[in-house]
Amino acid sequence: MSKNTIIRSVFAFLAVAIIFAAVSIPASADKAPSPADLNDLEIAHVAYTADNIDIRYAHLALAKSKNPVVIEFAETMVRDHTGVNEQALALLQKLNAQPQDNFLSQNLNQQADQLVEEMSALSGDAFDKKYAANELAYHQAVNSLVEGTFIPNIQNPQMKELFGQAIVIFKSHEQHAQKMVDAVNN
Amino acid sequence: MRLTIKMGILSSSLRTVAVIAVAVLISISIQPATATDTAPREHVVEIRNLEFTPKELSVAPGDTITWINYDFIPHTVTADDESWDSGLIKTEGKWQTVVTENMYETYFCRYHPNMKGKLKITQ
Repeated sequence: MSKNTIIRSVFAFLAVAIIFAAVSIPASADKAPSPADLNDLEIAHVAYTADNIDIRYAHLALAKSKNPVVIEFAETMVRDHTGVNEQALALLQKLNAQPQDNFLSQNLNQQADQLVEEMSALSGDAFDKKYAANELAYHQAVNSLVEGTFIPNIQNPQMKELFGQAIVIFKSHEQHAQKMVDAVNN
Repeated sequence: MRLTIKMGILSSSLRTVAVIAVAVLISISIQPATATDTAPREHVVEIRNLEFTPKELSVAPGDTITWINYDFIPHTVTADDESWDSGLIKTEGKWQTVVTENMYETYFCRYHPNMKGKLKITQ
């Protein structure tokens, strides 16, 4: 085998290796991020963001709705989610930790921006029905995430306990939201 | 002879004293029990994890009930017919009321309508 043949073989091998790497590395980098991969501080950030989003929806409802059922629910959302956030921040301060921004918090905020814009254009019954339906769907989705993914994955025992208490509150909101949906649709 | 008579008088006196003592003891043991049974009592209902504990409470008119909120969100204690209402009870806050004969017995939290409690008023 000539020297040139050996060099050509080595280049051919390297070329194949580089192509393989070029194909395989992006495939791994493109893997969709999963809520199950979030660490405790990222989970805390998502929870804080989700709370604030619901407070934002509630303020919109308080500004737009005249339905006492909707107003009462919205007031409860402001009170309770503020309470949960205060508790979460107190714990983070005690642990001397800062919540970490992440893909899920960003996605939630983007969706919320769109929804606030959409709901702002509605009024009367149309607004009430949209707000009620969204609150039910939002609590169902967040509760499923908190109970099924976050609580099992949280490492810090105090944070796990806090989320355990919070999920009781959020499930009560889900039931309350169902009653609001029934009320605004009748 | 004289000694025997004296002993008899003494023995009779002792019996009388003993009977009186027993009677006094009986009356003492009965009276405080009656007073305790009718005295107003203090009750505490804890609010934890969106539940009233105990969920059902036996009370009598004149008793005092104190609800203490151990959740980190506010609650209310509101009669189902809204005839009595605590208003907002903040975290670690408490609210007290004295039971009346015609007090409405079932109550809930105005902010979390699934939270329900009951008083059983005995006369």
